[in-house]
Amino acid sequence: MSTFESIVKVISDYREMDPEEITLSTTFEDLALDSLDMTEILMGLEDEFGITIEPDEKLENVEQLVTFIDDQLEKNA
Amino acid sequence: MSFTITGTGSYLPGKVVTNDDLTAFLDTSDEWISTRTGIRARHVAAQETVTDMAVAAARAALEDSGSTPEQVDLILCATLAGEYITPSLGCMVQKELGAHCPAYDLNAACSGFLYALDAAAGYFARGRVKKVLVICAEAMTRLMDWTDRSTCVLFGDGAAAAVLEPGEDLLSIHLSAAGNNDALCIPHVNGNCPYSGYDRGPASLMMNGQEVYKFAVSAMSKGVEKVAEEAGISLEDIALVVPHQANMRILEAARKKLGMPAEKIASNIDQCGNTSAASLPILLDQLSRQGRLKKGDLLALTAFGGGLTTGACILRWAKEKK
Repeated sequence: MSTFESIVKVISDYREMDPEEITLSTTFEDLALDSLDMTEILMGLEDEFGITIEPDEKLENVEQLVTFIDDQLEKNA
Repeated sequence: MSFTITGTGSYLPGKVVTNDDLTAFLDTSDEWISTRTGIRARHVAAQETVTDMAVAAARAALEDSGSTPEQVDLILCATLAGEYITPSLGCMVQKELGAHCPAYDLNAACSGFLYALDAAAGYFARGRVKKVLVICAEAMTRLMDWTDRSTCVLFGDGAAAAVLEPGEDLLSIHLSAAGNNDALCIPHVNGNCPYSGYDRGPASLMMNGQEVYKFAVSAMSKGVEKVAEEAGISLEDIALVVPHQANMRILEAARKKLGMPAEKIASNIDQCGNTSAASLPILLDQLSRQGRLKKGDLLALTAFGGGLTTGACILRWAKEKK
């Protein structure tokens, strides 16, 4: 599963929504996700990837989150 | 030998400040605060001192247990700050109650009630006491920066107390600490020593909300799992989880991690906000007086707080249903 697919799975499970509705350009504002929701999603991604993520970036959309997670995966490798 | 709780009491100050009241001077809204935290109102000690609140809660607990101050062997106060650095809040309560026993304070922030229960259990195990008064009291509103809308809306004031006597109702308990002054801190006052150039900064709460949130969700859920396992019970055996009331979103996230139904997670955060160490025992007293607890119920108490500290226990409730 790619990083994008894992992110879609975590977000769609969290929001209990159809994963097809999430694309790279989907913003977190579109999904009504506030900073606490983002913290929970990052915690879900930590479980998914088995890594620790430092939530210090202001992420606005799914594409930025994909890049951010790929960077974190590289740091943890 | 641990203890049994024979009485509880609590005190919430008379002044209630709603989210709408805060909008008079803060750039915030009821919708923003309640959706992010679950808080709609908090009690503020406008007239009362921390000692006043602690004494009121202690008197209520003593009455509930059918005890007198003279019978108390130890007063343990969990607080961040009473009126004085010294005398301790415990000593001030001892004075007002007319008790004759040793008294001291402990600071484990919002985990204070669990830390105090654990300390009390040690005294009972050594056979040193027959009656312990555990009090948690906090005027968090006096420790806030009221220009910081991200923190001052979260907290309220109040106090609660429990009378402990010999028994076997503490089935398991687990505390932890992970020293961290970046995630959450309240600096002490500076004083005016001419030789010391060290500036602690303003004596008001600073918090990294996301870091604390992450810590809290993990701490609360893992704490309950750990103490249930140590007590040899399953999560289904738990009648009610009585958690520290910091944020409804934390409670909900921890609940999901535990896989427990909503009706098993007690809460009063909508009306009280976060009253630090007092939050858990205030809720416990309210549950008792509302008749929601029955003798034999297994309660999971779980808390986290500044330190960073955590505490959790499985407590068998001994009092008859009110």
